[in-house]
Amino acid sequence: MSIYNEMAGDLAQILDEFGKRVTFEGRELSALVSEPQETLELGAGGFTASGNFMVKLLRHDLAALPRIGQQVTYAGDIFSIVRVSNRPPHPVVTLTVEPA
Amino acid sequence: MNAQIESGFVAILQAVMPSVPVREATSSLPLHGDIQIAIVECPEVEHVVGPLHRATVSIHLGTPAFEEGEARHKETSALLAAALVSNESAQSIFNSASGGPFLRGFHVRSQSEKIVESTWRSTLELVAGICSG
Repeated sequence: MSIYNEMAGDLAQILDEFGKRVTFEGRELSALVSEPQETLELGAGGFTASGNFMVKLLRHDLAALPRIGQQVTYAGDIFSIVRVSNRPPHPVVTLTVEPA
Repeated sequence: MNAQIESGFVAILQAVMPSVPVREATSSLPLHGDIQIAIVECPEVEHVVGPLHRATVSIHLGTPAFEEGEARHKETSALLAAALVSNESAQSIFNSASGGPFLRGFHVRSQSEKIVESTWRSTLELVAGICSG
């Protein structure tokens, strides 16, 4: 078994235990979610929410690699993907998301 | 008067592009970055003489590049430009919506196209003649 397979197996156990439920492309997935931080700024037209956080997913849980601009739902709120970190054969895909 | 002028121009834009949300700049509503929106801003109204005022009005059209795309932005920009061709119909909509102050005329002083934070942004700057009574 390669180190990457071992990492994938370990992460699957971590996700079983501590994972947060996120929805992506209509599927519910287990993810590691960093602490969301959100700020509100008043500008022309109203209040804009800003701030971002990371969502880590197992690559083999994904049907296709997420793309920038797609949306992820977490805790009832919708977030847009602004960055995708994908480093095969590393088993984790890391998304940076911000309020949609 | 600035807020009333913003509301009057919001009414003009809503009449010609009903599928696009249009909002006054002086708003405390949440603003979502993933939808196309037009914002009307009237930062300055100058008194000229008697009841006549000269207002500077900026109209910002923002289209999120990833969610809506360039084609949609160009299409809505064209609608926006068309809305500001006829002074007569715009005046009639403005004056019905505001009930005073009244729009007496306007011209587009400048226009710009930019990309700001992954958003296509068209801005039209207008000078409008306003009569307060």
